[in-house]
Amino acid sequence: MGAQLLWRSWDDEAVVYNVASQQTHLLDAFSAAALREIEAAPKTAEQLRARLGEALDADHGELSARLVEICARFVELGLAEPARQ
Amino acid sequence: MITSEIAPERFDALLSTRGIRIETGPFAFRITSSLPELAAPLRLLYADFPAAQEGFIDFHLVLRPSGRLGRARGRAEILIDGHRVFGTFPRRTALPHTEWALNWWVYNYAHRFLIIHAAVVDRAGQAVLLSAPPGSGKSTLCAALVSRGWRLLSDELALIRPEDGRLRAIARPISLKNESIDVMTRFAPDSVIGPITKDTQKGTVAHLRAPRDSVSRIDEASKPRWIVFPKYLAGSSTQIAPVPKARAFMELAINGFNYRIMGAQGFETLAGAIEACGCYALTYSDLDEAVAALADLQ
Repeated sequence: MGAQLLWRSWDDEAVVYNVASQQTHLLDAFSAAALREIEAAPKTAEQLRARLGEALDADHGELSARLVEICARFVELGLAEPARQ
Repeated sequence: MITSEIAPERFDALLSTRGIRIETGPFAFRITSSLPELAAPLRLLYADFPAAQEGFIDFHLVLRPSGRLGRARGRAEILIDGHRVFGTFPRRTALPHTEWALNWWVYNYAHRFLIIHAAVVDRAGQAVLLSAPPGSGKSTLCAALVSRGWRLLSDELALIRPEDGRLRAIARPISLKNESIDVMTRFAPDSVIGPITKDTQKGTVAHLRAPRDSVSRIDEASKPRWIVFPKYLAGSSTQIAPVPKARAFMELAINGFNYRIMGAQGFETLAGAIEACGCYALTYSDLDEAVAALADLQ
């Protein structure tokens, strides 16, 4: 994952600054957790789903839909990029 | 030496010739004006500011009639360091334009600070930042607090030092607009308010002189302790409620004059301020109650 990110978290929300784009983003707890996982190491959708499912004790089916949406948004915002195959 | 120690005749003569140097906290400017009507208001509103005529000058501000046609039509212009700022304006609005130009320089050039669009007042070394859109009563509330003993750091520009997160004061006159002029005249009858200028692009404008104590303590930096988003709502009861810190962060970032310019340092500086502060939303219609609510913040 290319973007260098600066983080601050308070309660259930986080703000993250993308050094490359100079944009600042407000994230809810779920989005922040997903982005932190991707930032730590590239992950497949299944790995991300498994990690977050464990951490949040959430249903995998529900997670998948949210993750697709969030990851697309991360890519759009330059916070993440699709891993090269 | 402070401005009021310069004899009025000498002040007026200097203003129209080589200019008057005035220090406003971290900045010193030299102002020259060939508009004689500006001299008395400047002497009034900047009476307590240091005015040593030798020393470093951050920028030079010149007020003058604007060219032959402009002169005939009663228009004036402001130059900072030789470059005109703003378009020409009616000469009778020279005083508010001077104040706006002084703000303009700070938020365009003073990037050694993170500059947030907020009023800042201090009590016992701890500061509250009042952040709100124009027209929501921020300056009126700031003026009310100052008239009740809070120290004025600024009515418009929160200057946060990246190196230690503390706030620097400018303590320049508080800009009052429209109804707030009458409100403050009633709320604090002993306040010194300068001339009223009608029909500016912000309506009717006047300036409340900073208390002498605020100016004499201008070099005392202050620790940010509270961030308050005030909103005047006619007829409402006074309510103060916590604001999530991440939301407060985003709101201040949006209202940061140079947050983007400062990049990662801006992010870290603002995060430090948020970390240090309790964040609240204040809704009010009664100034006394609003002042009391802020005094009660722990």
